Amino acid sequence: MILLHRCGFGIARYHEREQPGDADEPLAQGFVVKVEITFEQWLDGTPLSADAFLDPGADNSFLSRRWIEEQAEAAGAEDPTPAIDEEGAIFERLHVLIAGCRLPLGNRQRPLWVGSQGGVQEPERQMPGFEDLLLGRDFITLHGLLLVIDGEHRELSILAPEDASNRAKRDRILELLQA
Amino acid sequence: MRVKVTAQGVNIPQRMLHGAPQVEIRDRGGVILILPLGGEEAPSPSGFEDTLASTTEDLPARQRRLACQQYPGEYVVLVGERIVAHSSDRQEALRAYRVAATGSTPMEPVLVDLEAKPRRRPILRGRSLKRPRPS
Repeated sequence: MILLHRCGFGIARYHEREQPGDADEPLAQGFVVKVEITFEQWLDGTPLSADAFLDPGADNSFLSRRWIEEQAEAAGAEDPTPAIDEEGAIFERLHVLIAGCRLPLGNRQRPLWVGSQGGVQEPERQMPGFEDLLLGRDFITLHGLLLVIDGEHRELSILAPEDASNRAKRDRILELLQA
Repeated sequence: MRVKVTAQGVNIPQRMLHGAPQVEIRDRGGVILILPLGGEEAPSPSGFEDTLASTTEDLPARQRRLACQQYPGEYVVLVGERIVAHSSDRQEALRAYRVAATGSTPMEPVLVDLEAKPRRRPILRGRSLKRPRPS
């Protein structure tokens, strides 16, 4: 299944709230994808809407603490956070839904970290950008995703090699690049 | 002893500097070391740091150590350095975490999985949080 097909660059909803002028700023627009996140237990596994930034430049994926707090508040939950381990990574299993395709987020060895946006934090706990979820190379390599970033048309496409058909598509694309 | 921080920094009483004409200042994980250099009873920096290392492990390391010492092989829920629950069953540990998270504790609980191997911490690259505005 193609996860995304020629999705235009954009900005996240939080980004637009924080810096309204950036919605029309070409450089501010990036690989932003609307997703849903579900947790193993937190908030009873209800799908939660989020804006994800696909960032091949980031080694690890991060989930925004701000987004976590917003979700807890919106749900009126007494439980303010999903289970977090001693290093500040999400302990619960969780999945992201991208264009109808459900993919696990992180694993015990390459977890999803909780990051703060702004404020004074040690560098490894800072999450750059204005999105809710940062998907780094750990996510891309975990799922063997093929990304096509078209700078001329400012579009992003994502292919997940889920089945034989998709794997054949990926092979054709890579062959064309070699020609 | 406690001293106020001024615009210039902090004052260290001379009696604590062992007559040293100079000091070396080091930052060890947020703990500031002031090492007198050349004084009459100046301590050995390496010896001092070894002592300090054993007392300044960061909180995640202390939490992990406490969990391992008391409940090896189990999932352990801690608030700060206080163990509030433990279980060999993952789902039960998650439920215990939920209870701790909804409690009126000043700190967020953590769930330690002692079966997990050590992980590399993130080194984030990528775009900056704030873009510089054009002048």
